[in-house]
Amino acid sequence: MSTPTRIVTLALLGLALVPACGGSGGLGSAAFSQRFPDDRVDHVEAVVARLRTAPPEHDRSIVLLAATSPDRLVAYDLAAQQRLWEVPATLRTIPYVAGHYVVTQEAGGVVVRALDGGRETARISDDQMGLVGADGDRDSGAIALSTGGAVGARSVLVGLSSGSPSFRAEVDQALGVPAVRGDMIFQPWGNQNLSVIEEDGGEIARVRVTRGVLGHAFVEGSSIFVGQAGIGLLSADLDSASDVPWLEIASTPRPGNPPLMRDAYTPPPAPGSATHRVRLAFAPRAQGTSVALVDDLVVLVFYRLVFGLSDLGARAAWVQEMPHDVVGVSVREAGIFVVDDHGEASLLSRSDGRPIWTASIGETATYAAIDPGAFAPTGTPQGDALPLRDQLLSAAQSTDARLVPAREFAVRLLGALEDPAVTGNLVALCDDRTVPASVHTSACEALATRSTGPDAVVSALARHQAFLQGTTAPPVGSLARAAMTMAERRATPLLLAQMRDPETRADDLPALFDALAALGDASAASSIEDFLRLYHAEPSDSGLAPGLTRGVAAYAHLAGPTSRELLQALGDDALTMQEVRIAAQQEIANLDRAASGDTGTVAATTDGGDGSSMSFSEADDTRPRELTAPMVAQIVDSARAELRECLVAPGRVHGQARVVLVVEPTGELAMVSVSPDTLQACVEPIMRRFTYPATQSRSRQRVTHVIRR
Amino acid sequence: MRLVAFFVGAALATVAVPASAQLSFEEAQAAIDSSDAARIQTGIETIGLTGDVRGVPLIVARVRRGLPPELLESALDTLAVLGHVEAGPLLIELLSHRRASVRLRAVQALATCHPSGADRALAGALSDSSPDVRAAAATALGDVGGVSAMDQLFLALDRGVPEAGMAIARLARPADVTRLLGLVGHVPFTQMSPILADMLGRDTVPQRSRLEIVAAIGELASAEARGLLEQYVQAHPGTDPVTRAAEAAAARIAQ
Repeated sequence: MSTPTRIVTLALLGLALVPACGGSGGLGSAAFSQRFPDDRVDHVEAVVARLRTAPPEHDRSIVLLAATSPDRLVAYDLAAQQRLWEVPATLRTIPYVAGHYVVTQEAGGVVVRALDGGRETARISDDQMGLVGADGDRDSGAIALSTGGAVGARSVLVGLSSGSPSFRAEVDQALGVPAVRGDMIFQPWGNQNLSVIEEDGGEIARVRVTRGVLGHAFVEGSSIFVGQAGIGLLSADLDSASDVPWLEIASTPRPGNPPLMRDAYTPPPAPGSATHRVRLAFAPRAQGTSVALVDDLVVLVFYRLVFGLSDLGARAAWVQEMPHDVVGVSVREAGIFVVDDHGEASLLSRSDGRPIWTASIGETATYAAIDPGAFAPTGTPQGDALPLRDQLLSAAQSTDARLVPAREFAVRLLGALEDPAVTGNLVALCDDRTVPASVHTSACEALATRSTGPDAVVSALARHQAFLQGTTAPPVGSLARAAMTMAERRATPLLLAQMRDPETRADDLPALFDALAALGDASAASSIEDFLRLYHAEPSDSGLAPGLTRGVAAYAHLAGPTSRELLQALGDDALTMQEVRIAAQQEIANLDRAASGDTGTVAATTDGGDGSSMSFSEADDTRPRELTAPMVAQIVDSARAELRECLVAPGRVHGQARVVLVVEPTGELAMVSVSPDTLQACVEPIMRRFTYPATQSRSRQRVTHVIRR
Repeated sequence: MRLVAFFVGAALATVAVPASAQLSFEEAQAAIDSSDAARIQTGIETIGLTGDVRGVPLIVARVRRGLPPELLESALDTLAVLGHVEAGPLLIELLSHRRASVRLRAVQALATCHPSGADRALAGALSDSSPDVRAAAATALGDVGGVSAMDQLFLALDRGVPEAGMAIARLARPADVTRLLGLVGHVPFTQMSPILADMLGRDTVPQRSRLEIVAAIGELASAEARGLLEQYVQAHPGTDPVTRAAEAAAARIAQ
């Protein structure tokens, strides 16, 4: 149990002293007492029971705007579409709706105003602490002030009753963002504690959680959720055990890497901070004692792009580009409420992101706190429902320079779509040297790992740079990798033509040769031989070394034992580039090993047992021509559930994993590569349990298998 | 001839030919086949200086076996000097070499070798990414009489390859003159002027076409146009119809 060093409960502003129940663990003990017991099931069950009987929350739909020019606090009623009031105010931190009141931090300290009319009801010294959070339920409320940090942290929890302070509890620990429901304050503190405090300041329950950081508490219906990077539901099951129900979203990198919830233990950012324009939002729901998200949807706001991410953030559901930066967002059953910095409010459809309701508040603002309550406007979605591919492509091609990380993200999401047409889009993006480098790199990487849409790859590989025709060289390296992933044999002659084209970048040659080797067309060997002969004497600093060495490997692979003559010539030539000579000598050594081991030779004839010779034709070969992705899926189908469990890694839930199998013609698994690599240890043993068929393939194959939740 | 003079001049004037360069053909052959860069260089130079075309297949084979860039360029210079058609297939292949300097030399050598298919290959080189190679290809097309590449030459001229204009001037048939004159007024006169002057001065261009050129220049009615016509009259005095037409056109512009 954590040990706060000092606990003071004081009367404020002439109000009665809060009873300091100094008992050793009984209900009503002073808040944050170091002797209060945590994880008492009976305490928590009593709290949960009270939550169930708490009257419904207030039904107002409020937006609080940190309005600018001049600085003001504006309260707006969404349902009525009317401004409630405004007061001059320069906010230091974001404003909070706390039941029937509004809490802000301004130059004069923390100010409490009535939501009804904006009348100031209390002004509290902040003692140079930041307003971490505030919440309320009707006339009850709580305000958390804290220095943040760990060592030397200092905090104050102020209880509110009808807009005035009812108690004040000081603690030498950092406080998180509180929630209030049913006359109870749910206050996270010290990273892993949640104290449940009565409106008189007495603590009635405490849980300690080690599964994840407790920085925030928030209310949805009659449920209290807690967490920061993950979410737990307050219940008798929530305690310090390491396996308590805990929801975490997919660990996919996102633009700006916004946390699920901001770090409550660092000083609260100002309303104008960019952290409010790059953030995640979600709508939690209780599911037994576990937590679920409505539609498994995580909403990512990146300035004026709003992404709907399904599968707990792993996959794109939709993306909407707003006219202006979004400075407020709230995900509800009704949809996603957003308010932009021009004061335009919208409700976006949860299913496709299109606006289904809009209202103009008419104020420029740096921040908007949205508490829509039960307000759920309906309407016909505006605009055409574009295919997801087009939505992502549009986002990827945005011209707003601030959106580059989001454009890159859109490209990654695009690349995750199976739609074959996406490959053509990625070719175009990878082909476009005018897009920002990170977007270009992302597009090329996504292209390289495509497994659908071979026609676009073949078509692009057929193009060459020509000054008179005004054509440019395609992104050969990425296309070659894609062709390899797709086992697209039509690519071989096109790759050879690109190999001979001086406009094919030296950087692309390694992938090109790898693809030629993987595609396994032995007829490519003679062209590779010509290339190696012509360029083997280039200097090491020509940039060709990586390509040439991979060319040597590809040639040895395709020509087999007959490669020895060229390899020997390259190894013996004093003019040969050092890197090429080494590569040739290595391949010769491989040939020697293969010869001494007498392996890898497939006889066309075999002894019939009685001394007679039996001949086999290709038609007699019952082996499949090649191993395909559907075949792999069928082979490992019995382990599908087991593989899906691998996606739930400690602390993270992955939306999918990509498994690349490198399989010998004999069916032997040469390599299993899993992305994300953190899942390698779980997935590889399962994939290796299965037997893969021998094929007619003349070379190793790469087959990609995708595991999805 | 330019290449021959360049090569011989370079070999004799700037590079002192070592005594070892005085090799017999057989010795040169052995040197070229070696893996010693200095010996290979000597063998190539020997073949170039002797002009022995028996060396062409030796050099071609050695290039195919791979040479460092400096030796490869030297080999191509030598093939250009020898100007033998047998080098053609190699030179055409080397138009797609990764080094622009090699492609440039291959173009120049093709102009001296005149192998079959050179015009098509050079037309393709007009699309090279290197401006130097494109310019050399255009010039070489003029050298080899690459009339079949006229469309590509016009396209190259349109895309800013001035050497294509000069090649057109050298190769133009009457229909090509008319097509070229269609560009007058659309392409900057500074770019068209040397092309038109060259065509006016060529006896191979029919008189009727040259009269068309004079008329087209006269219609421009600019000081630059008048200057071009006056230059022609000064260079070609007499009563030739083209000269008289040029005099008259210049006089009209002066008025």
